[in-house]
Amino acid sequence: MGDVHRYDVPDTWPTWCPGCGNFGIWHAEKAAFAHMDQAPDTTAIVAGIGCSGNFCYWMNTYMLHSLHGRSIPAAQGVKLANDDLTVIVHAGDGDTYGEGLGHLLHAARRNVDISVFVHDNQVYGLTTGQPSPTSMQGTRWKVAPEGVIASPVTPLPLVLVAGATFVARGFSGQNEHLSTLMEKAIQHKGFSVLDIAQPCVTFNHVNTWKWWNEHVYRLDETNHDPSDYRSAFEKAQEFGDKIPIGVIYETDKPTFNEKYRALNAQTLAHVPIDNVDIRSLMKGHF
Amino acid sequence: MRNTRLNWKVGGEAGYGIMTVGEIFSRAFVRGGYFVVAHTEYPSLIRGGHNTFQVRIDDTLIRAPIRPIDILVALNAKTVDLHLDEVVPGGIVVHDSKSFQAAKRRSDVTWCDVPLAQLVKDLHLPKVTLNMAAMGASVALIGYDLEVLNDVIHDFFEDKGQEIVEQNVTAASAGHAYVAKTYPNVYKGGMPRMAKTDRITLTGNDAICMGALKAGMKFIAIYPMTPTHNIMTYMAAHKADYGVAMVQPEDEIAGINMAIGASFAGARSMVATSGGGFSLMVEGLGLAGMTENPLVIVEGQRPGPSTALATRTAQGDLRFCMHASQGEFLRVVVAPGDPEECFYQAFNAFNLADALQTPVLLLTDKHLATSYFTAAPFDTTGLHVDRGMLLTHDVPADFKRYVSTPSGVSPRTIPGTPGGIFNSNSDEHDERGYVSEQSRIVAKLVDKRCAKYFTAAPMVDGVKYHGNPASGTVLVGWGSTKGAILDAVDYLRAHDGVDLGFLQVLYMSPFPSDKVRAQLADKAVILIENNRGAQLGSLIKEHAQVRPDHTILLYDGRAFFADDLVQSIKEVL
Repeated sequence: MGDVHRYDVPDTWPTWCPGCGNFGIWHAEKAAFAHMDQAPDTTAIVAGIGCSGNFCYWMNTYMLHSLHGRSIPAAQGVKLANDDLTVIVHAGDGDTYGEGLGHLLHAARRNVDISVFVHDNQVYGLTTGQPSPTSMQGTRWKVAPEGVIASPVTPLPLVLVAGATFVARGFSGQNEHLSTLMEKAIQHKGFSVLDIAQPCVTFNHVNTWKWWNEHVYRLDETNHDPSDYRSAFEKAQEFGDKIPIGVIYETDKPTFNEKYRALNAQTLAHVPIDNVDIRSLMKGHF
Repeated sequence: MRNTRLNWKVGGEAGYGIMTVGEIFSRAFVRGGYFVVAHTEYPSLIRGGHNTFQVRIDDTLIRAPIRPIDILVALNAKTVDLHLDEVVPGGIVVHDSKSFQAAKRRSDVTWCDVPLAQLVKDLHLPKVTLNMAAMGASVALIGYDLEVLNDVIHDFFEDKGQEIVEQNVTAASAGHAYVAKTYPNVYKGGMPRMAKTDRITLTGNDAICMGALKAGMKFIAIYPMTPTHNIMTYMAAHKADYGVAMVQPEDEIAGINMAIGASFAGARSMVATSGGGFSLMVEGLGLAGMTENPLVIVEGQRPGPSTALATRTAQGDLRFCMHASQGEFLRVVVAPGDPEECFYQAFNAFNLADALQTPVLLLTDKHLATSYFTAAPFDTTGLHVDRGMLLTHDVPADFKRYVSTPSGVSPRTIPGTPGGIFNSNSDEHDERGYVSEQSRIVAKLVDKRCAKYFTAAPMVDGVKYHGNPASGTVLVGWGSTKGAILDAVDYLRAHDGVDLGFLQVLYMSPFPSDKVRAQLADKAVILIENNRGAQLGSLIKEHAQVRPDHTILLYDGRAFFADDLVQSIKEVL
């Protein structure tokens, strides 16, 4: 067990609202890192844009603060270039399930060995409270006074069908459990998606701490078998009176990045390029 | 304009392997000591459309297509009907009256009726080898060496196995034998095989791939789009040998963001697309600029806006590429004019991207990207990979990734480097990479990034001057028009006693203002561009305060023919 403060950025403190669900995610990840003795130098966090993406200012690892919706493609590039790195995406629900939903599904089918942690608060916070792709149908917002008309994106069945090899949901309010899920996701070899339920205390007045506490239940306290795809598919869709948290699905498949690692003795980022011989290419045009 | 040994054109329905013919026929003549330029015209259809490949062959250096056709090989009636008018009086039309009857006739050309389909059928060869029979027939007509053609066919199909090689060689030989027997001595300009050379035949796309591989590119993401999709084909064939990760992303947005991620992690990275795909990449272009991650982008232009002419050529994206993305940062834009420049500039693009830690755009177009040209083998002895201020070890304790420097470039670490942790940040940030909105810091970092414009300027040879340095009239162009302009200059010197100069602008950003002004001040300037808006002209006015006296603009989706350009220049001289 390492020191959680090893991952703090000195002289800073998050700017999230007091009581924000992000604090729980932050603490859970630092605890997971400490438990794994994760080396900051070989960790790359790719962040999206939003309160979730600002996560990258308060973690002492390599960071790529990318674009809204594009953190998953960027993270795949990082991993393909250097698969010795632990690559983690931190992005929000608007980021991942709105602007970047296509990227999420395609990444799942590639099975690049990265972990995607989605800060899912069902709202656009930094732009002061618009409904997000996961906002529940009928919920009222200042830009949707009549209530959200469309049904919400259901991310977990989508990524499961798309081929994600690790699918889980955590809750910011069950911090130790969340930390364990993060550790499992990171250690999983393949594309892992961890949807993290978190209240937005400022703008989401429906899915509050209280609401979440009343709705979640732990899968590890049931007889759910994460290796059973059919039952995983059922659990992935469960989002009503009861909402499961825990590992929904996990399986082992070859990863996209290991194919490329085999091409070179070193990672792509470190293979020497000083004297590439192209004589055989020239011959092909003779 | 009749200054070429042979101008040969083959046409047929899409799916007849016209593209294959172009490459094989070109290589066969270069291997026999000639120079070629070969270009294709085709609509955006997989089957049933009308495809042509035109191969100009000469015994001296040529760089652009010309119009008058000496031999037209028609694989269908449409080829005759559409292109018979292009054949010179006394020219030859190869057709197959057993397979089709064309509506158009001319009595001043020689009709060689070759039953190509029957020849192939009698030999129980697949119908796709008909194009090989057509090449064999053509080689017989002009008295060229069948052995060279068959050698190239062998090399071309070798990877597909001996059976495929034999089928294609047999078809070519059958076409050759039929014509040698039936139409001996029809063509008067016999073309023997000449002394062997080591020259190569390649497209601009090929040359870019070679330059990128030589530069140590390790990551490429390409979403298929004409005219750069051939880069995918090339890389797919060589990625295993060169240890390259190639991803076909779900869209160009993903592609550029993957490449930026790979670059952040330390691999030399590239994307390739056309204007539409680049439109999707623009947000990512800004990310590379802001985070100062090196990146090479190939933009093969085709006409726009929108889908427009998907398989044709244009130079309409110059201004778009120079100014793409919100905000101010250096986008290096280089426009090679031939495969040789494609090679060296692609190699250099990776060095520039690393040296300046900013995106570099290689701007080509369909004509340059997909036409075949003849080049001397590339000399790689002077090429050295320079990764700029990449810090791989001994990172100082107070490391600041975005430290403000006079050059605007600062030391860079990659993930995995002990002590090098930083935030590669799309938000405005301080020198360590942490978000900052303080006015003093914001202005400092904007200044830092914009300083690269002045750092870059002396690093590049922005112009090339060709032809007569004393000429009072100077032609000005950029990119793929180089070939037609140089051929026109050569022709006018040889046939009209007009010895012109040609200023080729190679770098659009940073724009070589002083060099352009020095070359054009007090000259009569004729601007030549493959667009409607005279976009280089506007740059010259803006940066060099020179107003072109005449403009020759072509924007019908086709490249300049050298002979047309000669006429256009004469009209304004």
